[in-house]
Amino acid sequence: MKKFILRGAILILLILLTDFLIGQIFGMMFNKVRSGSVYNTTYGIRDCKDQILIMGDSEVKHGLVSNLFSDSLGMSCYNLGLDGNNVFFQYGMLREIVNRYTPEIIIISKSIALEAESSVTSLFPFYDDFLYVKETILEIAPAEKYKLISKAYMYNSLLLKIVPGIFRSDPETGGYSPLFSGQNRMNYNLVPDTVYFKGKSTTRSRGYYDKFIRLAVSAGSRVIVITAPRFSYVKYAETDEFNEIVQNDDVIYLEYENDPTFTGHADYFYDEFHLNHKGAVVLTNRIIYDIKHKIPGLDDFPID
Amino acid sequence: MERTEVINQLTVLFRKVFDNQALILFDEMTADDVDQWTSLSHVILIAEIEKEFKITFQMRDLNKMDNVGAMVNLIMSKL
Amino acid sequence: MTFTSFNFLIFFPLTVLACYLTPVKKRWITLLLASYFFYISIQPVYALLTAGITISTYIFTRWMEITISEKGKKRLMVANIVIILTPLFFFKYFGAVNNGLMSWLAGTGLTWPLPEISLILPVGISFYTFMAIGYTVDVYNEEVKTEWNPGILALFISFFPLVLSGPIERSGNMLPQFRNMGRIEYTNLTSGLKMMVWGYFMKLVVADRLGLYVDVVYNNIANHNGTSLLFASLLHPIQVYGDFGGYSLIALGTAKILGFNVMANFNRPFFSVSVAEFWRRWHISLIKWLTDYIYTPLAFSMRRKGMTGIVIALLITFLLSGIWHEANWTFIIWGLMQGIFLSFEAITNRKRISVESRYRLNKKPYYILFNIVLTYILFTSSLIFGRAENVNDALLIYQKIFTAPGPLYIEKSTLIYSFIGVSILFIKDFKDEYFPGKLEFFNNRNTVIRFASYIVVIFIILLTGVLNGSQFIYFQF
Repeated sequence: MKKFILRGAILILLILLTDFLIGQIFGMMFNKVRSGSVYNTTYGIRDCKDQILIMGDSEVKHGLVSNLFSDSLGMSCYNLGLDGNNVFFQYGMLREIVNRYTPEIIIISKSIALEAESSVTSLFPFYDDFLYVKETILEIAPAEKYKLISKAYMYNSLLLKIVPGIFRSDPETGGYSPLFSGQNRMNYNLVPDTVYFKGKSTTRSRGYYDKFIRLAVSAGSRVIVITAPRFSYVKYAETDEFNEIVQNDDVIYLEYENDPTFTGHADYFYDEFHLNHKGAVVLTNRIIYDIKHKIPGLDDFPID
Repeated sequence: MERTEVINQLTVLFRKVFDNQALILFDEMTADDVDQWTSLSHVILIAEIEKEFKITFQMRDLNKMDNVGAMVNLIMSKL
Repeated sequence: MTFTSFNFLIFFPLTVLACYLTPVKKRWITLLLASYFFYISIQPVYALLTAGITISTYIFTRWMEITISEKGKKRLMVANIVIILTPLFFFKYFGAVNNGLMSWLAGTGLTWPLPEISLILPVGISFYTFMAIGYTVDVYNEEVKTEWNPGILALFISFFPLVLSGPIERSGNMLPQFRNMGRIEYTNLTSGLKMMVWGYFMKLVVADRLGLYVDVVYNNIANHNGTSLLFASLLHPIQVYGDFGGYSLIALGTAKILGFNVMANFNRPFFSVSVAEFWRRWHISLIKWLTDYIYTPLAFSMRRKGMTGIVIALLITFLLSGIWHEANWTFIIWGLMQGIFLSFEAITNRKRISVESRYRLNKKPYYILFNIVLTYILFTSSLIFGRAENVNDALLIYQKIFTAPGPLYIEKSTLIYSFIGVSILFIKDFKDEYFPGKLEFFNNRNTVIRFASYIVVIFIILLTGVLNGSQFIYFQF
């Protein structure tokens, strides 16, 4: 029995030691990442000072071309969009951003608040070093305080994002990630004439979306809420509560869903949910045109 | 009928039902010891035993057949 | 809470500690309280249902004990079974039957008086109901002694390692263990922990990761081509094995730590060389239950009909198995497919055996491999119905598989993680199947190797497992 307890204690010690070592190794690798979503997120939370920030999920990550914004508007632009992410994550990142500086313009997609699980796992690696990220995580998921003691847990599912990111450098598209039809990474068949019902927001996701907008506005940024186009028609199973939050006087609201330029045009889409590069260029130019008319001071620049 | 006679007749039956001429029965033998003896073939076996010995089993008897020895005892009790 | 929720990792050690501190004779009280606490933390109201079924079962089995006439006993048994099945029928099937009748009548222009119904299923109801029925029948057949302590009976029916998703245990195995509990042994602690760790590996690293791919394809059938649908379908049985097999292993490990031996639910099913063997290795506790309480009595009553009787019994048994899984035509078809496969094997059994022995096929690796692959494909094909939302979707998937090939949908990181997890699982199962006892890791005599393996597996789970909460497939059964 004594032997058993002794062995058990040794095993536990070894586990703690291994966890610590993994934390050190992953931490080192993390800092060497030069491309990919891990790099984008780190850049957003730790480094960025760009004047225009694009935030949201894969719709904007693959749909808004940063370099076009910077060329047309004469302001630096970075696309901080992240695949499969949500308003809770974006809020945590924004808190760190405005603590550091005030972006002139923040473009945020509407859909990140829909069907959003309160999952902030993408923020975990920043828990130890970034106070506002830590606060956000603990606000949303207090139990994580205990789980994040384990460094291996902190870096869960990041191995395959970190390693390639170390060896490949940033393609210098300012965070924008173009999709080219026929790449076959995802093979969705576009099914014409369908109608998609978009999901519902939750009280929590609406709450955080509201907090996001208020934080950005009070920091002094111009907030632009956009809805990116999809191949199919879109209908909302949504109440007015959410629309009140996104369509108020503090924000500029630009809607491109169900826009005839895009809906049903297969050559602009990579799959049902995402534009390809050709479509992204078209969308970006539309947005630039629209915001030039709506933001004073921007119309000094020639309209393309 | 003597026990040994029952066992002999049962052996012939087992060999026929499970298609294995090398089978030798012993008291502690169970389904685990015979390749083809499954719940599927068990019912076939039971039906054959009934035909052969001209007896009838009740459902309750099935649960008492833990091994071949118990099976033999049960058959004898019905003869 | 479920086995994969954080709360369980707090609840369980506390329960073990509480049991350790409780004197042996009173330990059933601690376990009963823990089990009800566990259940109430998930669905408080339905704990009343569990209690109700326990009370009914207790009363009727005690009553059977003092009843002398055979007929009387039988009536009591049937009465209790009906009482136990009523909530199951109501929660699980009433809605489906009601809505089915409603839409059928709508087609003929008549209106159905009741509104559309959708009820939340009490968790575990399909499992503990079967355990209670099994006990009732066993008492009638005098297989087990009637349990006089209502607390112990209540513990049997609500025992938290088993209540949510099985294995469906037998009173004959569990009641004696509950009545005679031993000390908390450290050997049980280590073997139980090993089972739990491997169970978590199977569920979090293999099943949940595969699920990320399979779900994306199956939830968007219209958008994916036949090749992707085929690939997802082929992965799906492995996902279910990891999910349900892993969860069962965690249940077994949990029970083991508490000092109880529970039957295994899975035994490396993908090495089966026939559908019959598959069903002796997959969801073993359910099949054992169905065999003992449905198939054998049915086949026995029809034994004079020869092979016809057996086929009918097989079809009915597996039809019921399908219905047990879900109140959906898809599962009825799934069940019937199993029945048909098994009937075909039963009918052709003699012929196959004689061909196999003539050519000594059973020892030839390629023949074994052929049968393994064939069995896997048969099961996969039936599981397409199991996974699809409805029959139309399932038929569409079949149609696309045969008529709409195309480039495979690839989600790189999901597939790479999956490949790693599945490989490790497969290698371990392969080794255990064909080289048992050799090259052990968790059970190696060398402490260094053992500790190293625990650490490697634990950190694979922490680093590559899907840890942000995904539902276990068999949860709402």
